[in-house]
Amino acid sequence: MGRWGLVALALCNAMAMQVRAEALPNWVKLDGFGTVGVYHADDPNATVRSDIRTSTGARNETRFDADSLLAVQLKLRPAGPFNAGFQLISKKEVNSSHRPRVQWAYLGWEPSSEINIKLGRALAPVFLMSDYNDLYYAQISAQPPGQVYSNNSITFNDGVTGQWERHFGEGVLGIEGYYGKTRVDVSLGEIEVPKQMGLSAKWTSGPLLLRLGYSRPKGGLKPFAGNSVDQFLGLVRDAQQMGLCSNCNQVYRERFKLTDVVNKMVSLGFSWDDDTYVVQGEWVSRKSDSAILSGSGGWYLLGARRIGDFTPYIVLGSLKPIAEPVDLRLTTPPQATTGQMALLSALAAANATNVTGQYHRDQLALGLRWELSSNMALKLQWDHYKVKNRFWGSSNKVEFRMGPQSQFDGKVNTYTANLDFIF
Amino acid sequence: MTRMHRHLGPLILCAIGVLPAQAEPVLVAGSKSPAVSFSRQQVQDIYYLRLKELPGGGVIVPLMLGAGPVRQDFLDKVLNKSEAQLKSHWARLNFTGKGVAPQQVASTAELKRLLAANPHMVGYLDRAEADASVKILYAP
Repeated sequence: MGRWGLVALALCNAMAMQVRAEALPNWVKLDGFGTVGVYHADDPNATVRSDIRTSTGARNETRFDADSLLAVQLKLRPAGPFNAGFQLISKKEVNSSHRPRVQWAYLGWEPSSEINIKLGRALAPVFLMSDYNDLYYAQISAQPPGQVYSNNSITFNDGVTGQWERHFGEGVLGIEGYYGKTRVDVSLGEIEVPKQMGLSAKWTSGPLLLRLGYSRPKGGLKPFAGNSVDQFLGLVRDAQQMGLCSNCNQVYRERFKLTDVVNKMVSLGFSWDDDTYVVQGEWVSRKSDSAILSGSGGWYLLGARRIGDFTPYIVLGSLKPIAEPVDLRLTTPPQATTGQMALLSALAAANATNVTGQYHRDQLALGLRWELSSNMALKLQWDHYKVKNRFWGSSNKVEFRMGPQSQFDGKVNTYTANLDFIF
Repeated sequence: MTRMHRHLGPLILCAIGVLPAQAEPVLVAGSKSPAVSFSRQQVQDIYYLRLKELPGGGVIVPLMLGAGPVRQDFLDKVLNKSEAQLKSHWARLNFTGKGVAPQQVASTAELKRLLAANPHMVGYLDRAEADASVKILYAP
């Protein structure tokens, strides 16, 4: 059975599941969501990924494996303060597998209507939409804007998650926190986070929502063999061994560390939704003590207007690195070989762009959301990316050939059509 | 069809009295409910699952009537949201483990039966169907 056969089977199962769900008692809830997506990237010299947690991107081609996913969840809410949740999601992962992974598996405790505590695996609320990151149906644009959301690839937290909410006047104040561990595979490699914590405050009053968030994952990256990080670190090691660099060992140890890397993320977000007009924006600053999992800053602004079943929207955003220069002290021997010169040239470029300066990019997106029914929406979206500092390497979203031979002009368009549904 | 023609049809039908009467949705609870009244903002907060407790204590359990003119008018006149918007909002809460969409009830008779059995439940019906078994907490 092909991939689309599997998708059709999954949809049939989902519909059958809904019929069975109606026969369940009120305290048992079985439901799910999904997306069938297709996208096209138009540049022959750059590959664009839809999500940094997937293995493949499109290079002047049309692909069906970007946003397509299927999730099912089971919630148990018997009378009393305890509840439980379990959610499975199937989406193409970095290892190209669609094998379902456990997104939730928690035991919840609600001692009052204001307090909600979950033990086990729950979603990590890092940004405004992080806890429904994969639920595209509940978002206006096709995906969460990458200029902010690619700063954090973490989806779940294994540990404790707590939420407190209280009415003050016309508004609701919510405080949410989490502590635990996580792991995630991204295109660069495997990220293992044995310790993470986060805290956020949210104020909601009528159409206005304000959010302030802080999160601090501490973990390490194990790069996949042969990828750009692995190649770059190999160049640094080679330069030291060949005597072309007087401080590569020290820089490697201090700035290119791949373990015990601490990231600190501060984010601000707001949303105004008066049922006709929607304006939403977020800003994030991520600081890091490693030049590989480097610091970065990003923002986006989304504007939309609902006109009956149609919602046209625009998204503007930018992402840029925040990193100190690495300052590799390079020396060119008098009788340098061609290979040595190439190596020195690549490392000089790294110096010039702070290693990670390559992924400074701006985004403009125009799209249309169409409510096909009360549980299904079609989204059409055009994205234009402009990548700056493209001399060295690639970004996690847009990949292109390294070095002066690169023919990528820094501009690429993508076209997305997603059918999102809940059941 | 011109804009004037589009408006003429309903006007003529209205003039001769053949347009169906619009429902007047009101928020109600069982007669034993401790709740007295709600503002429109509070009703919206109840159905957006932001307001979870009755002023005198006790968890609020909102109910939704199935598809029909009363539900449509409740969405339009009170919640000011489309069916799709409301489902999208509930989906955010449901699929993040932060809330459960209101229970759907098939008829006004079932709604009244549930309200009588549980003083923490609230629902809506057409004002013409509000009898002594319920008390009106909000009328637009």
